[in-house]
Amino acid sequence: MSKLPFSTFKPWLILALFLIGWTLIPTLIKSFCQLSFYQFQAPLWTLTSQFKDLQIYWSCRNHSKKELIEACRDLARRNSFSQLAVAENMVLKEEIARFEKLHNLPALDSFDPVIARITRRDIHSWSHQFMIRKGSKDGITPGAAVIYEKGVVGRIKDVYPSSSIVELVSSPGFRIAARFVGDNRPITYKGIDNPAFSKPKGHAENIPIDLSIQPDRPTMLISSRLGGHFPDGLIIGKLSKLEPSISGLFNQGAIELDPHLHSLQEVTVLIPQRH
Amino acid sequence: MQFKFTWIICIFANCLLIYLTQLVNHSLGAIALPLFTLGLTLIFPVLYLPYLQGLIATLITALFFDSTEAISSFGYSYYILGIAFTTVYCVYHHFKLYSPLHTILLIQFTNLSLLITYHLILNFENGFNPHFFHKLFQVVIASKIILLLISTWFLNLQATLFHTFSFHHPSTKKQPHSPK
Repeated sequence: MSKLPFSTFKPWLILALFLIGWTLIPTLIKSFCQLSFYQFQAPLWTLTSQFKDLQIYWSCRNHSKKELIEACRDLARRNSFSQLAVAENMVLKEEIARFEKLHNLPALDSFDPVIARITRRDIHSWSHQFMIRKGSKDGITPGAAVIYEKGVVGRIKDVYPSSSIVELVSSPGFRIAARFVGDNRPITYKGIDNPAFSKPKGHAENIPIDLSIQPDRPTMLISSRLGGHFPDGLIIGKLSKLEPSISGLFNQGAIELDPHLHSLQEVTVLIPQRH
Repeated sequence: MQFKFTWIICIFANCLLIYLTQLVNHSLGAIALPLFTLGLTLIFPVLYLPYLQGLIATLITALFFDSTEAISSFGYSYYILGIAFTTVYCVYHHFKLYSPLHTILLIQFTNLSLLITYHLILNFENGFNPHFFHKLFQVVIASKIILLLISTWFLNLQATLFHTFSFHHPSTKKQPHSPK
């Protein structure tokens, strides 16, 4: 049996040295390395996003005056509705504060909203993430809730000085406590990956067996205050069908999320206020 | 000595490819169909760089990829790409796969292997869902088509960069079976 030349094994020996070297490097240096690589490419994404904004601005400039006047008129109508809603909200807040004082209850969690543009979408089968253009400089903290006009988007996973990573509600690793409208019992919601060209979906577990749902009238799944990151009552998705879990003690079902979840342009981060 | 820093050009081109792929994936996010082209970053170092330079270029590319993509643990790609590069390098020089057709097949096979490896390893942490193979099939088909379209452009871009920065043209550097 002829001997194999040393040169055959040389690449593998060099590789082994590099891999052992990397394994032995302290975690602190690895973290520094990760941060350096991230900070190296992060400005590129911010710049890309700002170019996109500029593109939108110049395309908007091409609109005629008539279109702008119509848009302003619609906006004025929306503003008047919003002002009414804000006034009503203020009255309700005062009412809540009065009841809290009367019954000596702890104050409800309150949040500061921070609006952020999405710079990058990463929709892989193992993780669904957004990169946003606001970071620790704007007060964003890990775990903060991220929402939009139709409900929950996800939560902050990583925070960097001027950008953050949002883990989407449809991401396979995402789990939160939730509840159904009109039912205060908590259930578990988790994100799941779906085939391309299909609507984003999630999965609800630990649903009490006495909860019934009519197929033509889906029940809304909303966020729960349990966990402390999300305010109560934000829409997550809707459930139209229930099936028994493997243990038979609970029910489970697929949650339909908003079809526009993966094509959002802007989100709001809710930063918990410290009392 | 002239070839000492060729791997930096290679890293730059690889980072550019990763950035462009992410840009396309950003736009394809609405239909949840991500493209995977990481296999292409290994081929130029295998074809035209000495082993050590190629390995360094690949490992730095791996760290860049890990820091930008949604990889749960920083350093996964360091191991995966390091092993993949050495395997492809040894296979390429052992079987003398020097024709253009072999290069295309090598790109496709390397990318497919990496795609399946990444999907299996990273989905294992969260548990496989019923749509896993359906989604994997869609990503494989989309990535294969895009690789057929861009692989020649990308290899030529790297060759042009080498030429522009006054290095020898890669075609003159080809040294079969020279693991240095």
